[in-house]
Amino acid sequence: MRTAVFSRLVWLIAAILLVSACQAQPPAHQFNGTPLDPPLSIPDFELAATNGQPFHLSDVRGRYALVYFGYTFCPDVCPLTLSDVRTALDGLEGRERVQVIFISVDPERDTPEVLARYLRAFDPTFIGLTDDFARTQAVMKHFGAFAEKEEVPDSAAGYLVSHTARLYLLNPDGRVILTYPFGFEPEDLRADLEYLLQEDPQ
Amino acid sequence: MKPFSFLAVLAFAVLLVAGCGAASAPGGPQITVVDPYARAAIPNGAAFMELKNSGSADDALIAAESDVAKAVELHESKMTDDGMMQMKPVEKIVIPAGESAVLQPGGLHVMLIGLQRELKKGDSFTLTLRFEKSPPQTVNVTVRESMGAE
Repeated sequence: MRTAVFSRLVWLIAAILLVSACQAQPPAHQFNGTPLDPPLSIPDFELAATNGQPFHLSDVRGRYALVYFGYTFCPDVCPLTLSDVRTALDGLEGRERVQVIFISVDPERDTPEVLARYLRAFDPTFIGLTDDFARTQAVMKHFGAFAEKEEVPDSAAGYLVSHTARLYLLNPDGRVILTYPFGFEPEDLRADLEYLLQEDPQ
Repeated sequence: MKPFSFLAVLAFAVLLVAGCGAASAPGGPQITVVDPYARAAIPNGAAFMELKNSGSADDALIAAESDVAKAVELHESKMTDDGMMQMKPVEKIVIPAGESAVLQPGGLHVMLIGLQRELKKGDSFTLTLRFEKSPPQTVNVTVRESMGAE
């Protein structure tokens, strides 16, 4: 009888210890971006880079990649996103393991020279891709992103391009794990990257 | 003495009423341009600001001019229902009486198409704003590197 009470007590203490041990563990990182579960696999693709060489997504395997679709004619949304990305990466430990890729949705105006000059103003390490519009659209489809050209005859712009304004974070296997909507906070992106780079040291 | 003091009070009252009238500018809009800025950019840019209307009538920004760009237009970026960012020219930007119109990234802005020179952080340029009712205002736009509180 006594041993039965004692053994119950032991179990109770063990249970309490277990619960408190669980609570003592540091809380798991809460991603600020929108997680994709399961991660979205992006088939390898080839698009022309501003340096005149063909770029393959597989070229950045083994690194994290931040992919954004935009165009240099866009005066507010695209530059804000790029400068927020730059802010998020500034001084980040493991910065070299994150590659930013800007894919133009306006190859007609974004010649390699124009796009290269535009991106250099933000960060010389950003890769710029500008290729045939139909080929670009095919790549966008894999991301679930879209671009659409619209004539604006009453504007000096002539035409403008509507496009998905999300930022895609790809893991080193080339899968989209997180996305960020327009207007994300640079600190939020930075916190997610810090966590991922720490979790997955190389 | 009595008639004089009555006259004095009357004169004072008249002045007071006249003064009030002048201060409230009956029926008109009163536009103040707050913190106009642009971001460092090529080949196009955008100017942002707050347009404050402290008057008692609505007004609207109908045009902007500057020699910093080949064309200056009023545009609006908008998120469509299917999640695409769409930019379109707008005819005017309404500034309701007693309210503000805020021009900010991802929304309304003065679009600078074909910059004549690269806009660098710390630069400034003049921009003339034309309104439906109020007289035009020329403001000095400062160039910031990024959007946040700098």
